[in-house]
Amino acid sequence: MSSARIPALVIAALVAALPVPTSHAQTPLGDDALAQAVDADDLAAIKAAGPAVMSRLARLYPLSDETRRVRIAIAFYRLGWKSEEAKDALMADARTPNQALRINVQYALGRVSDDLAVVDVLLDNMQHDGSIVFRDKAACALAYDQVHLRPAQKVHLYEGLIRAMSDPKPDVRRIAALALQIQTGQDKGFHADDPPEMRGPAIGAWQKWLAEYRSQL
Amino acid sequence: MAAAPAPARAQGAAPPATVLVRYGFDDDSVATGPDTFAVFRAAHGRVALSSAFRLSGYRSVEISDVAGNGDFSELQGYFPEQRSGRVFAHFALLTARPEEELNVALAGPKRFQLGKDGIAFWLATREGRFVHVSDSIPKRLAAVRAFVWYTVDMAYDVERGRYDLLIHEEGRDEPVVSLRDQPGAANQAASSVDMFSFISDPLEDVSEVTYYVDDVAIATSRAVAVPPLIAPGRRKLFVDAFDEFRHAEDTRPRCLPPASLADLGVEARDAGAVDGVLAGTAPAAPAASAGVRAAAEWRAGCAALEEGQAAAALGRFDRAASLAPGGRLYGLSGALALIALGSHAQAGERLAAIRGAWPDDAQYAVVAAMAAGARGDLPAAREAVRAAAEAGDAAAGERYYLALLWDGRWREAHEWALASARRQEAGSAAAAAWLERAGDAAFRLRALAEAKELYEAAAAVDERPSLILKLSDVAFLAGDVEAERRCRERYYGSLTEE
Repeated sequence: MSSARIPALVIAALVAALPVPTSHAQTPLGDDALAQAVDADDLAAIKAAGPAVMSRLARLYPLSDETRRVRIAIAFYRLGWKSEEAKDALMADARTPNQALRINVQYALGRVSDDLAVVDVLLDNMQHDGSIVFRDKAACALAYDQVHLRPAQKVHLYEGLIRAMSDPKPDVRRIAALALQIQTGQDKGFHADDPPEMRGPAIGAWQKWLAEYRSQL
Repeated sequence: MAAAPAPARAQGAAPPATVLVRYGFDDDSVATGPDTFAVFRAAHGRVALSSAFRLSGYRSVEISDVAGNGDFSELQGYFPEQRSGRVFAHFALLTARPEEELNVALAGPKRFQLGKDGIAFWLATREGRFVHVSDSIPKRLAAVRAFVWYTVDMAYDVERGRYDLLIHEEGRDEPVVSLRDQPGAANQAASSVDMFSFISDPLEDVSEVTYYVDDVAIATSRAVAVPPLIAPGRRKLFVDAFDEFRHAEDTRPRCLPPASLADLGVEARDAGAVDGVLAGTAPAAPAASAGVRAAAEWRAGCAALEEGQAAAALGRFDRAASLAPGGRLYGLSGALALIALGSHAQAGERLAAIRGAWPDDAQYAVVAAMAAGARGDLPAAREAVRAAAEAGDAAAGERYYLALLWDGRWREAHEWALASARRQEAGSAAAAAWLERAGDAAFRLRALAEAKELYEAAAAVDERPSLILKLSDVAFLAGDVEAERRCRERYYGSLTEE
């Protein structure tokens, strides 16, 4: 269930575009044509090449300058097809100082992979990156883009977010709690700016919840 | 539409008093729309009436999907929002491939996300088992067998955000699932519901499911009046629904943007710092100038106003005015907060007090018109903004049109909109927007041929969903059944036997 389907409603129809069926037919696309499609943000042409295009984009990625790598990362994000090669290519830039590249790589990683290494690098960026912007965007990626994780893998994500809710940096506590809230729809009474003695019981409630989550696996 | 069985009660639940929607999918006429349901077919997927399997009558709905197509198939239904009482959901489903994922949910105005007024009830099949998401945890239930009907009865206590769940398997007397007092999907009390969804897998796009749904019924324990459908798939015309939405949006006070730094009482040397503050990329430093700190207060006030916290917004705007008395936008923003609070007299007093700071300014006129409209004085709203509108200010021109429209002066609104359209660059989005407004006024005048012409002219420039749906209304009133259906189904899809 995705909010992207709201356009069916009258009110959302005010602002939403007509849902367009997606072509699943696979059409050949040469290497030059693929690079051109990437440069032109022509997702329809890229998508028409089918899931095999992920490997080809992954091979093109390290050969590209940073501008094109941003475009490939955006294409990976929008395609959302799981691909080990795509994940490996993107991971090389998971800590790049280039802001546009870093943000798009962080967003795309969860869309192409269910590897816990992705969750770990995003958790690490969220807690320890020197830039508040990168920390925040890593949390966004953890909140919205881990679409391939299975319930057992989500335990790892939740553990990391709950751990980060005790971080000494208030912004890290805040974004970790927000990511967990977006994932679960709950806050269990946690407020990042409360004193530690008030945050403790809320974190305890989250840990109890996590134990129950684990018990259901 | 053939009658589906009434929703059964889960254990201990009060009896249903009102059936909100009920579908057996056996009638010839299964019109989609904002008050019935919408159909989304994934590429190479299917959502269609089927006589291959059915629990009652002679048809059900088949929903199928293929993996990796970047899309998903869905039957999404709507019913009047329920904020209290017990809501009963009854449906039957049969899956051909239990190992493939399917999802069923009951959600509220925040749609299909976990949280208050989002998903309240979420049932799925994963790896051959039923799963329900309760307290944000996917919990495994009974195994699912292929080609067997399962009848699901759920009784949701809206205030407590908890539900009872019964699932019966065809041919077995005892339920395969019987749960009492379960936390809702995100464990949220008072989480309202107004829609349901039968879908494949909306996130991972790996499901190759084919399943069938029959006998869907949603009821409430409360005695409520459910307005009748007045046109296919809708209880009100699209034109009226869009009008109501626009009225709610246009009468909701929100901050107007500053025309210059001086509006915020910020000096030119602070331009860089205030840019970061207004963009939200940098907080106001403790040592920042009073002007920059005032701008930060104003921005926070605007955010509070957006979130409906008008009292907090007013406090922020007043603090900003104290920090930078030269910032004339703070007084105007305060008036907006007072309008939002319903303090009409105080809003009027504040506007009178700051009138001198806004000589012949359209922004002031717009706020004054909004204040007059909020206290129900539509002629004053119109007059407040007329001069600025006639002088060519775009925001004032739109406000003037709305003041005419809300006051039922449709002929004047129609003329104003046409004149405004002519003032725009031909073929521009702005011209199209005014053509649509002229079409709305023509529709009100029941000049259907002209309304159609205007909507079509606007759509030729900018084919917005609102235009196509309004054309469906025009066709409905004109008795053109085929055009009505064609326009409506562009957005809501169709449910037919293919």
